[in-house]
Amino acid sequence: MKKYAIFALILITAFWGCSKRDNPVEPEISSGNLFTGFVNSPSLEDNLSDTPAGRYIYIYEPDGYSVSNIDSFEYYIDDSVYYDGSEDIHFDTTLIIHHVTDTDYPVLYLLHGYGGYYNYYADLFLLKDILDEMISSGEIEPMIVVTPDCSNAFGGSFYTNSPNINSLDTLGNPINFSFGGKFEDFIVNDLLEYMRLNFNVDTTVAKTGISGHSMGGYGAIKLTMQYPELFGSVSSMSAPLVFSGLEGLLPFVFLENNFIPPDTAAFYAIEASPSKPLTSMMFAMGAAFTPHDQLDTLDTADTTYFHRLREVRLREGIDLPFNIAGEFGGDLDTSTTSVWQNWLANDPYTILTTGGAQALAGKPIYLDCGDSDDLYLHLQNQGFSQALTASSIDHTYIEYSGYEGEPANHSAFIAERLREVLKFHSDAFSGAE
Amino acid sequence: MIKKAFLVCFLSLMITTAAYGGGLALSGVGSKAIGMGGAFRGLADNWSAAYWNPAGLTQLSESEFNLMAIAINPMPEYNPDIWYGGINDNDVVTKYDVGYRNGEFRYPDDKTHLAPNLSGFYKSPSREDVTLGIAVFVPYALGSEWDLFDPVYEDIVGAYPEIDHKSFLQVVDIHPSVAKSFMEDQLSIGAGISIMKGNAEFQKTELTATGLPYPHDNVAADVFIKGDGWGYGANFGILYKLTDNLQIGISGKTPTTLKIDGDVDIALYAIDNDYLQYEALGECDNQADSAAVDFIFSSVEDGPRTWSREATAELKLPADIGLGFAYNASEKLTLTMDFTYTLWSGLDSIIIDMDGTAPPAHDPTDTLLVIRTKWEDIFRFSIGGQYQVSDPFALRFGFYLDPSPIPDETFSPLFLDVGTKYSGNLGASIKLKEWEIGYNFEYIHFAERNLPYDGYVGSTFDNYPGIFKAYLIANHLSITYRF
Repeated sequence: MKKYAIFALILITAFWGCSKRDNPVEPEISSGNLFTGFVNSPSLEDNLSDTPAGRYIYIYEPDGYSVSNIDSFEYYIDDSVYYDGSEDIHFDTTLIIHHVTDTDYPVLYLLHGYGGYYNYYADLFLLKDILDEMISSGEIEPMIVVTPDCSNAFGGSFYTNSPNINSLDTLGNPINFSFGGKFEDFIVNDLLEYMRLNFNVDTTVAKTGISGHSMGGYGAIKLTMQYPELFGSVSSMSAPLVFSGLEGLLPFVFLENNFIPPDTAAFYAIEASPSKPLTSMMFAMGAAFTPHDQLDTLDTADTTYFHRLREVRLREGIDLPFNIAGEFGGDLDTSTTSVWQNWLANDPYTILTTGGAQALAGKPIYLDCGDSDDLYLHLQNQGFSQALTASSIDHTYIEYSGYEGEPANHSAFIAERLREVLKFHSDAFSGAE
Repeated sequence: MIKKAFLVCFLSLMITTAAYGGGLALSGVGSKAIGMGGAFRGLADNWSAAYWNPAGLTQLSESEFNLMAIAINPMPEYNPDIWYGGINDNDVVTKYDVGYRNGEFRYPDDKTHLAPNLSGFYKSPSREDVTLGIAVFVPYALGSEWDLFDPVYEDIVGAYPEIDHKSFLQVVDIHPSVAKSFMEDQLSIGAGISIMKGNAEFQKTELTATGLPYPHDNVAADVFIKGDGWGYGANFGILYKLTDNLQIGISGKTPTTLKIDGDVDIALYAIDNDYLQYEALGECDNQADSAAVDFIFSSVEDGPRTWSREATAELKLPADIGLGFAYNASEKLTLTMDFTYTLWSGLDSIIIDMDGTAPPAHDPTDTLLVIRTKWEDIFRFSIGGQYQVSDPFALRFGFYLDPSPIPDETFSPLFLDVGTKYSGNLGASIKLKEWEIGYNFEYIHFAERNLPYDGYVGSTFDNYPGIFKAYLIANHLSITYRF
């Protein structure tokens, strides 16, 4: 009997600890809605570069915003598109009017970079997946995220009201319209109004954030300094924030155009094209800040900084802040031209250090940039961060690294930085309660 | 603007595939021998002497058949800590999730592995000094399947499979042996031949750099290596009675090289993103770049794109040599002790020679896949004992300490050999006329292994950083019929 008891004891012990173990359960991810809206922008009508006034936007609604999917209000939609995850479905109305919840959500306006469109974050960096995951896990609070299309014929609007210049219409009548479109007005007037009218957005300043990458980050910072009453928190990813730093790009612009100062013919042959990304970006900035008014006799006479726009088939041109000698910005003779001053008027650093600091005071501010930025924007961000500190403005600046074989250049880690930006704005929204 | 894509090359990602081999070795053969902690070279008094010390086969009193089954439950766990990352001049550390399920302990499939053994030995009444026979045993029979990875890019073609890391190695040793005693049984000499058949399977995830922005900076490909083959070796042993109560045994085995024929299969989990593909193609300025982009975005409908290449490889199983003692402390109590040195350093790397169709963007002239192992020689210490409670009934106990041969630099969760093994055994046997039934319970505790993430590595790495823990439970049951 004793023998059998020992055997039994051993057998019982044998199966102890052999039961199958389960891996940790993956958190359930709830899915929000991502769909396309269409904004007819009065601010973008009547421009000289044929920039369409109708702008597509992506709108992300968190899970819980709507009890059902977007089909429940499809009859309100006109010229709008619902993205069901695989294809765009077009509808036939003009206004969405999607007030279907008692809750007003904070809203983040996320501005794309140069060369991008409204789908920049959603299609290239999987914005919806990131939002679904972070909201489901509780990392961020539910929010509406809007990504507008602010592209134009030059590849990017720089979220600026391109100045009016004189021209002639197709019948030869004189006109005076914005050169590249009034994108600053589009954002702060038309887009915010569109969202307020159509969605359950919390319109209090503290619940409204703005962010963006590169040109988008530039727009976010500048618009917040210009309209502090509209945006309660602001962030930028790898943005050009100190225009004097653009001088470092000049040799590459010259190289793209085979321009060796002071070659006059090569200087006036400088033009934008898809094969010249830096030149194209400079031309877009020129279109936003300093279009050349050929019907203005004073302006026409001064071709020191003039460049034609053959690529976009416009008879007008733009001025860029460098001359035949290759001198840039502050080295120029500013007594005869306002080109550099006009650029500086749109330079975040200049705005900040000439009275604009007050607009940012007290607001949550986040900046980041890769330490191997192709455009040397980490140096600009360091300068802007120092200027904020000098103005006693609290902010966070992160300069991040890549990894071996994948340096933290201008576009390498946007998806990862988006997570940081979303956390930052979520904290800002929560902190405002 | 996105960053320009560049040519990808699968071979470059595969040359640092992690280790393979002997973490799959079992504790030994025979419920009695394992019940005594594998301290059996100096005793070797039953059929499993063919494995431990063939000289001991002369101690069989009759001809016999044996059947044994081992049920093994390895219970490893792994908390991954695998990232890509960097550190900048300001000492700011940046880590990027590349898809490994970091931060929580993961478990494999927790399967029970069965390893049968059988043998038959003949003892001629007219030549009691000679024993002949054959045994078939399974010295390697373990494996694991893990869910450790999920691509960070959600726009993947089809669904990524649940199991992404897998290993399995089974070796069957057909082992004819002969032993002869001399000097009125004071000295015995024995030898055996190993005819080994091995089956191996191996799967792991590889990441291929694309040059695209995160999270598409790498695409995932599962690499499957599968094959089987034969190898030949031998073992030998000497047993000598120093006194009436003390016996010494020396035995060893030669290395065996299994020549494996099989396939290397690759399943690419491509990116399903037309917009990104369009943008990437727009930045290509030559045909090679365009081909690379098409490769990254290539797919078949609803699933991965696969390639298969025929392959041959050599898997070197180690030689060992050991010294054992058996001491009869009393009429009922026998104590044993073994020292074993195993030359795992022969397994420095595994070279797989591939043939057949290569994936696009693969250098067709480069056909060698080198798996770094760099295993180290180890020294195992075993002690055991048997207490004969009554004539038919015996109790056994044993313990061994066995370091892992796998160095940190090539360690992966595919191998159970997490760390130094501490094996405790408790067994018993009972004789019922011509029959004897034996049973042993074995519990192995593995020392925890903590591989810190310290390299800020690039797109390849040899080991899997994280924390590893494991224990193992094995049940050994044997039946012997003597005639």
